[in-house]
Amino acid sequence: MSATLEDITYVLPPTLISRADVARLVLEVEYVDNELEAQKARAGEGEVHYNVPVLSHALDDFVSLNQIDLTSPEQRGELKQKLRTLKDKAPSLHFTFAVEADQAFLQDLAKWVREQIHKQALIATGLQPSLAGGTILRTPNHQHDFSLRELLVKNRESLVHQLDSLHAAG
Amino acid sequence: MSVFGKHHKDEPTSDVPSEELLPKTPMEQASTAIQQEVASAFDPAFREDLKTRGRQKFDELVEKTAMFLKQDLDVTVVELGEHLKDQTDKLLDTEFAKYAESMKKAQDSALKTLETTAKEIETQGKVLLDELHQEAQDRRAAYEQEAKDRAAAFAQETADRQAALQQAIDAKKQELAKSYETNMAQVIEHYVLQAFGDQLDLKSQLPLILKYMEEHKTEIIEDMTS
Repeated sequence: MSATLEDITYVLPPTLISRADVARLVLEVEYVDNELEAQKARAGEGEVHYNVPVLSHALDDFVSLNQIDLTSPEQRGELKQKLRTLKDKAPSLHFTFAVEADQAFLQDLAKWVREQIHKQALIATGLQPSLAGGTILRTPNHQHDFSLRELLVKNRESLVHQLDSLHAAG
Repeated sequence: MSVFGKHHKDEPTSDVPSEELLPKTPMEQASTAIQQEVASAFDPAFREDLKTRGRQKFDELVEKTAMFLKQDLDVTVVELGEHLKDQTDKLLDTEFAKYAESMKKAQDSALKTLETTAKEIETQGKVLLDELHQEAQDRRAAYEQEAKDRAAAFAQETADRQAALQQAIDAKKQELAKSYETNMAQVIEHYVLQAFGDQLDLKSQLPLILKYMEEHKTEIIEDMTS
């Protein structure tokens, strides 16, 4: 039985930003699970001494933050299942920027989003240089234009008025 | 008196037949004797003389008679001429009088006819003139009304066109001014975007982005959880 989004109590680390990051995390967890299952099979009936593979920073942060014991088959299974659910069902916010957003910026943004909007929210990014500045935010059903271009367009009347005043004065 | 003048009983005549040839009865004898006497009396010279005198007498008589006849004829001709002249004068006077009367009647009749005709013509002319005058007035009034209507329509059309033209000019002016201002605004926007687009640091924009998101936080949450 697959888990719902409400069943997921994991705290997402800031390094886990996009759905692609979650997908990579799922793959990595599956790899770790397969590795540890193999070690268990090789050990046979005896006591198993798990040798956990080197984890990526993302998985390491995730496991540390949520205090997950990867050597526990139950916790690994739960982690795999919930990460898959998270990958498929976690809400996503799409941000479009004028320049390529760096990782630090996205982590700050993701932190704020998960604190203020939704704790399992993921972030997707796009590039549109004509925005000049700011961002365009797309939620599942709406689009919010917080760009500099939109700011100028909204204030165009004021600019036209100023031009008109200059024209009248000239 | 005999027409033969003088009678010569004793003069012999060569034309008397011989006694052997004469009849024997007394009457015959008397006749023969007379004849012999006549023959002896009327010899050729005498006869010629008689003829000459007879001729002269006859000519005189004829001449005289002709003279009388001529005189009678002259008188008759004169009288006849006077008579004819009188008759002709009378007839002419009568005929002239009749002619004058007829002429007068005809003249009167013609005059009356002319007067009647003239009056009728005058009446008809007056009626026609009145009709023409009335028609002319009607046409003039109609033309004046039509001219007024056309002038009013033309003035209205001109005013409408002027108003429409002025409105179009004003609209075009406003459109051009708006377009100019909009284009100028777009130019400025483009300039600003070009000038600052690459200069703005994304990290420095984060507080502003978070501020906007904070302002729309409720909407975003509702959209995320719906």
